[in-house]
Amino acid sequence: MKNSLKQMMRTPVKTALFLALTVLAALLITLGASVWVKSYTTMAAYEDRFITIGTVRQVPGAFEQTLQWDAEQQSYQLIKKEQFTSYRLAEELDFPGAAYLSGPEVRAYYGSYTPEYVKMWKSTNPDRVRSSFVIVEFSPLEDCVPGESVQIKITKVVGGDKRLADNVVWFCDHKNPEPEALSQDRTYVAALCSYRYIHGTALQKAYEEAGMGEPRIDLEYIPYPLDSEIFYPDGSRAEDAFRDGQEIFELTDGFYESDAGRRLLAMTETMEWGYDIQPVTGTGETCLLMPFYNGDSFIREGRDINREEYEAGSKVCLAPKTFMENNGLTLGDKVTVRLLFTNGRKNAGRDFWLDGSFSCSAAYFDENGEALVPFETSEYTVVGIYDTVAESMDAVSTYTSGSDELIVPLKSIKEREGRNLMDVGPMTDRTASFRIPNGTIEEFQLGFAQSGIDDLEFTFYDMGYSALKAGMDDMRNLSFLLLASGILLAGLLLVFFSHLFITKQAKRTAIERSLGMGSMQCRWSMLSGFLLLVLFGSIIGSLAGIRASADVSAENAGNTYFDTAFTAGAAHAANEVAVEEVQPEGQWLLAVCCATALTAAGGVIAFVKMNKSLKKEPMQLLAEREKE
Amino acid sequence: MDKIIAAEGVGYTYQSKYQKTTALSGVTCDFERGKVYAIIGKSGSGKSTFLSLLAGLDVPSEGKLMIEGKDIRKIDRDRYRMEQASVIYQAFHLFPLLTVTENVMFPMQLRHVPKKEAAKQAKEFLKKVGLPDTVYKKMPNMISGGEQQRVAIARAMAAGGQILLADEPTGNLDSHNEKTIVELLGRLAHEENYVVIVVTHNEKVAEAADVVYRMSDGVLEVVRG
Repeated sequence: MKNSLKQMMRTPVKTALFLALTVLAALLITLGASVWVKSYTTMAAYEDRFITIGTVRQVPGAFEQTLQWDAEQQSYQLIKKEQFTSYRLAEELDFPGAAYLSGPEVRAYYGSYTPEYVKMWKSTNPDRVRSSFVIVEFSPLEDCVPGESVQIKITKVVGGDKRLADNVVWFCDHKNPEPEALSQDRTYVAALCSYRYIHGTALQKAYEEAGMGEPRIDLEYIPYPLDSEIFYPDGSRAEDAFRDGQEIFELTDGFYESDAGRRLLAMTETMEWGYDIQPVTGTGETCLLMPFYNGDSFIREGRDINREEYEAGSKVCLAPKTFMENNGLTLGDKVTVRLLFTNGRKNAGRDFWLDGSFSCSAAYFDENGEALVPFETSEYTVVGIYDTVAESMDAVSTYTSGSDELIVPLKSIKEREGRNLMDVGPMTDRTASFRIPNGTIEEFQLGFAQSGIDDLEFTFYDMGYSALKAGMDDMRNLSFLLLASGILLAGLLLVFFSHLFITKQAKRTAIERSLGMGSMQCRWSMLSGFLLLVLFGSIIGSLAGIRASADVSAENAGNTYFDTAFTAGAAHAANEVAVEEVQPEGQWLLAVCCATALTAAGGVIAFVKMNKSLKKEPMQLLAEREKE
Repeated sequence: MDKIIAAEGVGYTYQSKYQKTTALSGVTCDFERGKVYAIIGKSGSGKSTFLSLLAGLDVPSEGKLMIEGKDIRKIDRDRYRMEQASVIYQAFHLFPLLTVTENVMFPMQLRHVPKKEAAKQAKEFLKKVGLPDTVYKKMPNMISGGEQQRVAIARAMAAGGQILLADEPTGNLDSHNEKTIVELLGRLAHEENYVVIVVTHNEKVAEAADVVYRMSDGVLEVVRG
């Protein structure tokens, strides 16, 4: 081996070039392999941190335009309303190519009637005046001028805030283009709700009376329809004799025995139930709810409902922190859920705002005037307490959880199709969602494009998975390039230099053989120096490759970002976070493998060439040289 | 009589791609220590093939080739070349990347002679072939052809055997160097008791030999001796 090395060292340029190129080839191969392993490992490490969901919105087929009289403007106002031929069902999203991990689901929220619990509104505003909706007997202070705000005296409060009795308030049959002229000497009965500010002559008068001062501009009450707010599943309103009917009635003897009287009494019975409604949302996975997905809502105590509980429809729930505190409940306690109605149009956050205010019906009765009866009562164990942080009212009004909203497995609700439907609507990004495997958005869209459905729009959220994957794909492409270059370079240099060091040294082999060296000795003499150089170069190159890989991945990690805006619990951190460098184990083993592989390849090529040299008869070979 | 090599009806046939060729046929001769033998003949007559068999680089197809009474087929021929027989070539065939001394040390290192001892002996061999110590550390391409051939002879001597096989040893030399090499080979045979077998075209070389054979179409005949 010494002689072999000695002879190689006496061609320093050739040997140094061979060594340098071997180092470079080993560096490229190791760097490529290492970067590939790192990109793969990084992707695998981050895979579980991502959830890809899609929300669905049904696009209206047309817009229905209706006219509504506005007394203030003395004209009809155009009201545009979305029109759908039919509401799409979740089942219609089961087209070929849709690989759902959860869903698709179209969620309703259920109104649970539980007067025994303290609701959010009470903890924020216990003295809340419930005077916006009343059922009263009243007399106008003067003959009413149709379309004008007039003053009326409330002679009796049938339902609602009793403090309004004997008060004078403003009234206008605002939305009626042909309002009845009410007489001051008569008493009327109606359900009234506060609407907008006074207008017309009343407003003018208020300014005149104020002179240079600040005019007193009060709210006016307008009549409230007496019909039921119950819907059929197809989206049509339940047949009700009071639909678009009379809303103001003259008080006569036996009025309360009449249909209108009974309807007003039914309304009186249920009109304040809304204050005791707690929203309940059933889902198949917590992350399908946008507030949880985007991190506005997150579990502060306890745990999430697990997949088994969702699948089994277990009676477990997630409850908001404020609700638990307001009612002295703790983790593991049971909460009574008494489902009164179903709202198939909105999410709970749209009707029950985080500040405690809420939008509720005043008509919890059916088309026959019968008070709604809870259709399902259950006890749910609280397994997780969640909190909600919303940064803006805009967020509150669209995606956030509702105040007091309970999250339960959808399958735990027997009547999950919904009863006592108080609203029905199309899929929206707040009520329809599904989960698909990360990185399959394009496949999903391709499948959907072939489904023939054209009135659904999808919005996908992947927490920046696509961005991260693109970064990792870049890394992987780079690694393939490096690996391919390294292998190509290694192949070429091994073939070329083995030709220089072995094939072109056939004469040396022949001399050695003629001096008595056996075939094995000749092989060892020729290959030892060559392989030692390959091994040395491979080790140096592989170590340098590992070092360079650390720099490349650190650089790449620092330049690859993923969006944390939709990462649970991190909603309010900076939206873009650099990918942390993942250092997979066994990098040194990888270097050893690369060095070994390169040396082995060198060995095989050199061995083959050496065998060719040895096959030549030495005397013949040396004689050939003499002729040369 | 100190017979070291005996050929009895040696024949050699090889199969080329298209035909079978008989290179040697019925060669019978003896080689003794202390003599210079010349084998002359035209190109392609089988001289080099015979030398190749004598060097143990191949074995006869027919007949017997005995080395000190042992059939060459049955001995370790690598060991034979390492310890008994050495070949000198027309083109010298020194290791171009080893110095003169290292070239001579090479066969001794094959026999695991310690480096110092090998270096010492190498210098003695180089002295014997008449090379000045100024060339010892030079690379082969830095010395003349005659000097290179003397290094090759020194290397052959260093192998330790008593059989020197020379294939046109003066083919690349001028007349002065030719004479020197012929004298050196003669001296090795007569004074050091080597058996020197020279394959040559050169009449002067043949004239200096003790015994002359002629090879013609693979058949050997005695010309003189």
